[in-house]
Amino acid sequence: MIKKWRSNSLLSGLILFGVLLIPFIRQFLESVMVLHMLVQLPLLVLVGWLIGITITRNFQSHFDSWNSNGIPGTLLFVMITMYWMIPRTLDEALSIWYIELFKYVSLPVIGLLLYDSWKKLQSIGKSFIYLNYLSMFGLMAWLYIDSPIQICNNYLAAEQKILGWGLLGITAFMVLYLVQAVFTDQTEEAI
Amino acid sequence: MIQTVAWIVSLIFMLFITIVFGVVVLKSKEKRDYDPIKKKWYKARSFYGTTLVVFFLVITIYTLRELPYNQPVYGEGKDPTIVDVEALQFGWNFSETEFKVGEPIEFHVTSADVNHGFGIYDEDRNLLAQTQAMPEYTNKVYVTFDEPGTYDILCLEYCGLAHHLMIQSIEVTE
Amino acid sequence: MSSLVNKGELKQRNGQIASYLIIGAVVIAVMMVFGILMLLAQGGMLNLSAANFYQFLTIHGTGMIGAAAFAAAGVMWYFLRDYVQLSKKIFTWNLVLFLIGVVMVIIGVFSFEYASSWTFLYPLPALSANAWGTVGALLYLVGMLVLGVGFLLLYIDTGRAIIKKYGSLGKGLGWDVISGKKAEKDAPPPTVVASTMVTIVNVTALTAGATVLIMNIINVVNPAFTFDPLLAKNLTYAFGHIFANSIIYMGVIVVYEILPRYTNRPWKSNRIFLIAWTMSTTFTLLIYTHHMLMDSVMPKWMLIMGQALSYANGLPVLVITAYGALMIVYKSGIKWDMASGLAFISMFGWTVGVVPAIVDATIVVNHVMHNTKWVPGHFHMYMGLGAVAMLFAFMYYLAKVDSNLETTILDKIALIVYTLAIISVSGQFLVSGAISTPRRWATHFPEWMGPALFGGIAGVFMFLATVIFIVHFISYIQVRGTSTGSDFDDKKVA
Ligand code: HEM
Ligand SMILES: [Cu+2]
Ligand SMILES: [Cu+2]
Repeated sequence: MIKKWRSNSLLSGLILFGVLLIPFIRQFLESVMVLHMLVQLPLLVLVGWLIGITITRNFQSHFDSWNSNGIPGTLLFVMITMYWMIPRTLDEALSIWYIELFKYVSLPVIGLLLYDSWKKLQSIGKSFIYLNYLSMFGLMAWLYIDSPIQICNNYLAAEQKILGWGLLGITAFMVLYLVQAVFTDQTEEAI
Repeated sequence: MIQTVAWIVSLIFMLFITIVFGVVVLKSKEKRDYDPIKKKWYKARSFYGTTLVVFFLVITIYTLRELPYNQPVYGEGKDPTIVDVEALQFGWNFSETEFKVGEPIEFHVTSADVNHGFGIYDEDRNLLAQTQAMPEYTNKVYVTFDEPGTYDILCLEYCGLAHHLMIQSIEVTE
Repeated sequence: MSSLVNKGELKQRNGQIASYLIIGAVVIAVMMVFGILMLLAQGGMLNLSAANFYQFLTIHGTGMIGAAAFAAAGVMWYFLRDYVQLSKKIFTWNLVLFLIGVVMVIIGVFSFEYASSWTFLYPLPALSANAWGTVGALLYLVGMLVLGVGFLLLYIDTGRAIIKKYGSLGKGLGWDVISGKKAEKDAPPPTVVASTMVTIVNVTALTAGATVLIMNIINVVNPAFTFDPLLAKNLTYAFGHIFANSIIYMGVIVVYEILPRYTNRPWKSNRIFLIAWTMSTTFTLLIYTHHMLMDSVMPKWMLIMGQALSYANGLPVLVITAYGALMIVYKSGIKWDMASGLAFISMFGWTVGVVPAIVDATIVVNHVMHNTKWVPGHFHMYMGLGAVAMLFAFMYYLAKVDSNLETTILDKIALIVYTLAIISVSGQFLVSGAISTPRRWATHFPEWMGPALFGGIAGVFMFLATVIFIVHFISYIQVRGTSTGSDFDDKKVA
């Protein structure tokens, strides 16, 4: 049962990847900034995560040899996602083919690493990463909403603003989630 | 003057607190059971706490009646003089620097670079009013000078190494 | 508990606590020297260049807040670990990151002449009128970020531990007791309540702080990216106000823990106590807007709230905490020594410091006192006479329970001198504020010089007293673990 589910996850990961590669879908998602950043990029990470469910199981020792406590993998994840949060990179992905290629490779890879690292990370590490992304999303929201100039060539200033509000929504959601997590009773769960 | 009132009020309360702490220290050497003390002073606390809350409420309402943010009501045909002020590292640009006693003035204050502070000082170097000078925003100060003389504008927000040299004089005549 | 902990481990654990305190205390003492130099310069006694003055201002503010928060975290950790399971590794990491951050800040300020003051108000770090460059700004800002990471890890750990033991942060604040679901006798002890409060406010502060710091870093690296300066100001003061205030809420734990031992009277959480702490938690998060009363572009309701809630924030201290300290000491037959004396004085310092703070939070008063020396006046009182005195109280307490070191008459003299000196330093600031002297001015007009000069001289005495405190603590570190059964042995030493 579990095994079947696991191979299903590999399959669905690959299918999702295939779907994201379809030129029509790709162009559609990349034509709107907010879809590009908040749909396509996370889906690519999800691809890696799904594939990771199978792969890390089969090659556990390989992963453990360098990522035993989850910190190296997490650091890589943070670095790559930070790279993709830099305003210019989305733009470059549209105009430079190898950046686009890098996007399609790096994000699934870190998705896979995230899957492997997250379960190994201690709760302190998890909370730290969570807060890190919280402030990062908040900052990015601020940057995009507030920026008086058009940061990207391929997207209009209005689109930047929409993305900013999208990021702000995520930040708000993260805050709410955090507040409920620390103020509801956790006695039963081992955290 | 507000500063004097603030200083005296603070002094009175600080002295009062000092006396209370002092008395407790003097009485600390005596040894009594805690329970009766607790009972008595919890009761006193209810009274003291309530008094304090009421006191704070009264003061809050009293001091919030007139806020410096509110534009004064100008008399018929007495439009205020609007003065545009721009702070910059390290100086001031005023659209006008000469005024009359009794003339209602609105300073519209902004900044060309970093945060500065706009503080109006009289000849005895008392601070009369202030606001922040911020980039991208315009803060307003409403003033009517009662006395003729030379008033100084001093920078009241740290803005760099010449912060303390950002002084500009304005003239008020009869 | 103490029987479960073997001596060696105890010694090692207290060793790390001692490192926190000694690092904090020494940094505080060094920062006092910069404070004295600033006052002497303002008083016209000393010729300091403007660049040097503002570097000193920056390092003094940053160093004092950083070191006091660091040492206070050590105090909190020492007592909290009796109730919940804390991670020693994280405690060590915070120490390491603190040292790295401090070194970066020092290099940024002194080698690269960075001087934005500790509030680094956007866009000053990037726009210094050529006084400092990108490298200095980056060293300072990244150094602060490193410091913040260490503290954030520490508070995540305390939060995790409290949630694990008590179920949630709400229960750490005793909300189930307030609502009547749980009996008062099962309420979380004051140490846990205070630690929960500090965890909540500081995780918030540090997250906000990280956001503004990174924002400033982006702006320094590439000035084409600009941000809304008003939002930046809000976040900066939210961070600065909360973090600076948290120091005293960590420090007060020592008062809660030791006065009951000295007086043999219990100091337990009850409903009123818990309500007071929940009020403090909420207000501490909200009242930073009293730093922005002179920004009339702010929404007016926020500023009015800033005044009203600042008043309200005085209530928990005035009605519960200080009152509790007075009650527990009153006719208790307490044996005064350095630790209990400093603890009591610190409560006095906190309470008197509240007065000028509340006065200044009144909008009409703030209109003529904001950014005058009145402001450092109030916070030197409750920091110097309040929070820092708590740290010293703890240092004497630790020396007493963990060694057989005796205090001497010199220590007692130091206590008196310290108290009088910090009252003079704070009083001097208040007088300056009352005569409209602006804060953060490298030089003063002659009519403003008197108080500054007086304060500079008082500062020297305060510094000397602090040195005596530190000498005692260093002597303790050398004979650590030699306690032969002090007064509190049977109760709870570990
Ligand atoms: C000998 C003792 C001390 C002296 C002589 C002293 C002196 C000063 C002076 C002269 C200033 C600048 C005032 C101005 O704005 O013109 C200052 C600011 C400040 N001090 Fe102290 N101080 C002392 C102790 C402390 C302590 C114990 C703390 C806190 C733990 C502290 C925290 C601060 C802070 C946060 C600032 C604000 C810095 C800024 O405006 O950016 N000081 N002090
Ligand atoms: Cu200025
Ligand atoms: Cu200035």
